[in-house]
Amino acid sequence: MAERNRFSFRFKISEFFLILLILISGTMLSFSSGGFVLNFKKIGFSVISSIEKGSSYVVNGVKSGFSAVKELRQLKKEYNELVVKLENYEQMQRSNADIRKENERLKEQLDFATSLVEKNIPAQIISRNLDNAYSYITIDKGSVHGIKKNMPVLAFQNGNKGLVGKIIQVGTFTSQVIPIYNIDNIVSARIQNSRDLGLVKGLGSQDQPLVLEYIRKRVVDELSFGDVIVTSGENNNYMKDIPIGTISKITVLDYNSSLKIELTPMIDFARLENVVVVNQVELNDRK
Amino acid sequence: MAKSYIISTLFLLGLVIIESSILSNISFFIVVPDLILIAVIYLSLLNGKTYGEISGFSSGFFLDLITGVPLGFNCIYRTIIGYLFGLFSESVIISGIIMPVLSVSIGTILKRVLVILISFLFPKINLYIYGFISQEFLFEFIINILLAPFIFKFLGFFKKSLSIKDPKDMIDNVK
Repeated sequence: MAERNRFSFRFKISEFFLILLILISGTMLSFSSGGFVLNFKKIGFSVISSIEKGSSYVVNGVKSGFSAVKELRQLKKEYNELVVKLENYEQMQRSNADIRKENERLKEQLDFATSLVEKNIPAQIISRNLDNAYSYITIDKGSVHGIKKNMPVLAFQNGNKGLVGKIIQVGTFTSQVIPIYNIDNIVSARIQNSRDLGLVKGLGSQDQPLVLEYIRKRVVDELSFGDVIVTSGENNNYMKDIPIGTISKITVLDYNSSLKIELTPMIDFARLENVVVVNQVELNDRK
Repeated sequence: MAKSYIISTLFLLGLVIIESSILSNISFFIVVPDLILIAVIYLSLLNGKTYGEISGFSSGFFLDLITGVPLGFNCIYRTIIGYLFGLFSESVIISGIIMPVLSVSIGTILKRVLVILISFLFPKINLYIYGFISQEFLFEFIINILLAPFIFKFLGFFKKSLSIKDPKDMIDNVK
């Protein structure tokens, strides 16, 4: 009898809570792609990320306060230089206006039409993934600034334009971006020179290369390291010809009819601070 | 008791904000130190398994909302970690350096085991799960155990507010 008592398990309130909380968590996890939970998550995301945005502003405010004095001195120096440059530009602008008018006339004659008008929404990164389990970037612009789900996100770094990712979640004042290195993000892409079509996938970490798949083996001789990979524009998520990365490694697999190509992203995500969300508005197609 | 739950929830929410908006932007961190895990372990050891699992669940819920991880992912394993550490609330002394370091190192390993197990049980969750032999895990493990004594000490200043036990009944976990 005493032996049985020693191994008996008493079901207490804590065990009841444990099972209940695991069941709630498991149900949420199972249905996290369903409508109900997604909406709920959106509300929660809006609330908490707004607090996050506030704290980010405070931290940035303190940081910028310290650097303001240094910047002021630098700005004065730059101002003097710019005054001189401005005079030169004013002269150039006069001749540019003539060239622009001539260009417009020529475009009309050639029947060119603008098919897309892009409205850029600049944004600042306020937070990133905590571990590499799920890569994301949170930016300080939300639905009130005109951000919508699936909008492409670009960045300019060292004079180069590059694809960052796309919007996956929109809060009121903040949004979440799924970067191109996320394991879930697949981008339809082309090799800029040969125009071969493939898919670019992330490996889940910004330290790992991107992978370009479904490029036929027979084009291997046409490829070289440093070739630029751009978006194909074939899905509606991204505009055409946005640079994604450059070829860093080409592997020919015996068991596969396609090449395995590794890419170095055009954007150095570790140094990324500001991005541009692009709102594509279709205006008029070819006349 | 309710006051303690509210204070600890606010503490955890604050840590979530610190992790996501400040620490995540420091490029030195390959993986952001899991301050929330350390706090949950502290609260579990201080107040027992019921408190631990509720703290684990609420901290996981905040994390799930703010990160892109499917809702429930952090909740599950943090609830279990809170419960398991709560089992030892009456037998572990949480002051000093050795116990915080030991408990957080076990907690970090346990977290990785549970994350791998969850990704196995829910195969549709498409996450980048790193194993034990990885740069990320090694970094997380070291940074967590280095920070553990400091976080424990910091939370120790608020022990009276965070504890649900009558100070008279406490043997070791108060000072």
